[in-house]
Amino acid sequence: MITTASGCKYLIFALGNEEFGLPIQRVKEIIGMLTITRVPKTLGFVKGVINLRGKIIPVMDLRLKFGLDEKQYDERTCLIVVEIAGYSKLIALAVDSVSEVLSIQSAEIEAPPDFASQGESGFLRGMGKVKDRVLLLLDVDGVINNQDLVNLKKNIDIGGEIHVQQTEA
Amino acid sequence: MFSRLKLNVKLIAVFLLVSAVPLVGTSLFAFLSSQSYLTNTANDKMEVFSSNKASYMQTFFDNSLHRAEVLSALPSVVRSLEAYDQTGRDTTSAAWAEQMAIIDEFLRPILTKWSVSMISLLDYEGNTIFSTSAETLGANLSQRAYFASAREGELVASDLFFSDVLDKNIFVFAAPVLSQGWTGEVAGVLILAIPEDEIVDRLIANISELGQTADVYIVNSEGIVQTKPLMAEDLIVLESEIDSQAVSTLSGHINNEDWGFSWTGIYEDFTGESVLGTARVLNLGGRPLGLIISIVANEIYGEIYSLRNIMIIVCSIVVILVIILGWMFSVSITKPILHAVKSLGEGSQQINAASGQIASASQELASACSEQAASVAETSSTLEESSSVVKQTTENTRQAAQLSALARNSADKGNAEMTEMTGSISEIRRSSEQMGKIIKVIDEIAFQTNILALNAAVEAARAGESGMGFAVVAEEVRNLAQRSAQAAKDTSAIIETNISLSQHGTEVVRRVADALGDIVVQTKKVSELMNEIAAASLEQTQGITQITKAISQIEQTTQENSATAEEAAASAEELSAQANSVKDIVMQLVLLVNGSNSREMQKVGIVSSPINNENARSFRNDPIKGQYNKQSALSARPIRKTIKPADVIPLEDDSQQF
Repeated sequence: MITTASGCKYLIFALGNEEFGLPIQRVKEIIGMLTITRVPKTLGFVKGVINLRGKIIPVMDLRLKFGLDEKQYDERTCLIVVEIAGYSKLIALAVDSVSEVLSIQSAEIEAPPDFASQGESGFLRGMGKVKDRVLLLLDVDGVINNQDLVNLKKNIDIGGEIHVQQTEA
Repeated sequence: MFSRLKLNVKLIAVFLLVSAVPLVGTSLFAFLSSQSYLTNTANDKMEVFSSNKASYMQTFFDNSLHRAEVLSALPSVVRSLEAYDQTGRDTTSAAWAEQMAIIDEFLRPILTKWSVSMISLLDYEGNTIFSTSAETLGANLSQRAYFASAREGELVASDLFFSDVLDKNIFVFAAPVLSQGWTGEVAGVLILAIPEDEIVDRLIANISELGQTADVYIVNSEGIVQTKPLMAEDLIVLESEIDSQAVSTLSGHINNEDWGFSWTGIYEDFTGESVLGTARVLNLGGRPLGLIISIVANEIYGEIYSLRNIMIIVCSIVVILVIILGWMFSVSITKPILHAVKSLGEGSQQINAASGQIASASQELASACSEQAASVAETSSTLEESSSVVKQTTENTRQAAQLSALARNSADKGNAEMTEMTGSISEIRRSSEQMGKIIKVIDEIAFQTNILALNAAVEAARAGESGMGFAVVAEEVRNLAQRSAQAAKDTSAIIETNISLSQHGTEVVRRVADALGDIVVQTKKVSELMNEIAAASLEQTQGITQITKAISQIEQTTQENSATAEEAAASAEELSAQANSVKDIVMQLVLLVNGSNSREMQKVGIVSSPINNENARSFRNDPIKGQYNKQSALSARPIRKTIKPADVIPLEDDSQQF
């Protein structure tokens, strides 16, 4: 994990009206929407695979992953290619739009609220407060856990290896 | 007087005159001519019979005389007288008895042969010396006139007398017996006694040829019957006297011995019946007597009397029938006449009243016509004004039509320009859409640039310290991209606004074009309507001209109507006068039908009421309506005309002649 003195940089994207932040170190690339090839017998949020410059990458719809309403993809829809800890391959996340890269100081980050930490609250790293905005800072490995990876591997064996997740303290 | 009788009576009288009188006249003529014919025939017949009978009787008497003469000249008779003288004029002597037997034997057959009742021979002294009737022997007849005459040598016939000896009425024919037969002195007288019966038998012989009631008898100049008439049982010969016209006519002629006199006539006989009789002076042995032959008129005229009776009955029936039929006929005539008269009377009264009404109505009509004429004149002037107004209207309408045509042209032009404008707006819209596409491209580029900047930022971040500068550049690029995107977004919004505005403009232009199209159509209609109005106004002008003409005709007609109304008033008066004349006629008719019976007149409603034509009279004198001076001309016309009933109803002209 690479951090700066002044804090960490996050890629800000939107799902609906809410803005989310992804740590920029885990972001490999941002691309516009490509043609998605659907794969049968996968989980609902796995939309299929894309061919990114010769590499086959699975696509996850983050809306569906977060249990939001499905939205038709448009020209603003972007795919964020991220690296997953313990998984050698890349995964593309479909989001509504990508806005900017923000540096958020540690002081500006608060822990996720308690009601969210119970159950599956592991995907939130914290709540970023930039001016009046509230940015939900995501933990990529929390979002895509091992079970997901197993399921992904089971269905789309694209040759990657799943490593036992090493959760940072 | 006759004219005062009822028509019924007149008609019946006329019918009687026409039918019954000729019938009665004809019957009477037939009866009289038949009677005359029968009378003449009977007269002739009786003349002939009387003449024959007279000559027969005269011949019979002459024959009887001659027979007496012949007998007296018989030698046996002469010799008998000589013998008588020789026997000493003793009638009882046997010689005389012998001589008498000779004479008797000779003379007795003559009795029956000549129908002589007795032949006697008297001597010069008048003693009967021989007689076929023995009881007369010895009777002296010297006192008898015929004896005296015979002793003087004359052949003589006696009057009828009653012979006591023979106990019957007889005629005696005496002839002197001369001593030398046909010459010598008178020695005695021979007499033949012919009884009345024989004469009567000869008289009545063939009398039945005349008829069943024919009678014949002989009278002397005093009318004493000499022979018994057949029809008289109670007359006694030589005693009864007949006093009839025939006898009285005849007596003078008998006394004058007017032989050949004969008279025929109808008279009342002794039996009291009317008889046709012929009286003739008869010379019986030189004695004038009257022969009367009669026949009861009823027998002669019996048939024509029954004819007469039938005629009387027929005439009576005819007269009764004529009276009945005439009554019925006259009733059938007078009833409708009375009815018609009643109707006429009522009608004339109604006509009188109606004519008054007509007169007043005509007067009103005349005044109304005058008012109408004034109104028509006003109407005429008003029409002339209307005519000028309509002409003005026509002109205005024509101008309006031109103006509307101009308006239409302008609207057409506006429409065309609107179409052009629509094209321009469409062009603008198309340009805006192209601009939108360009803007979209720009936006896309900005998006891509943004993504590239973000990737650059990600790369710079991953590069750590060495990528710090690059991160700044990336940040700037991203800012530019965002500004581009923002500018594209703003431009896009403006273009969107442009597009919507141009759409709205197009819409407005379309609506304006529609409105202009409507204006064109309406203007066209207005133009057509204006043309029609112009045409209509023209027609109206012509119509008004015609109406003006018609109004002038109406004016003329109204004047004529006024004149006609006045004429009608005059005619009504005339009508009233005529109605009065009709009333007079009706009264005369009633007089004619009913005679002078005023109650009948009242019954049919004819009362001489005052004439109800004051209206007409006042109208005639009314000086108004001087506008039309036909009044004088009307007055000059011959209105009054005295009408008599005979002029109207062709009644019999001979009513005055009855």
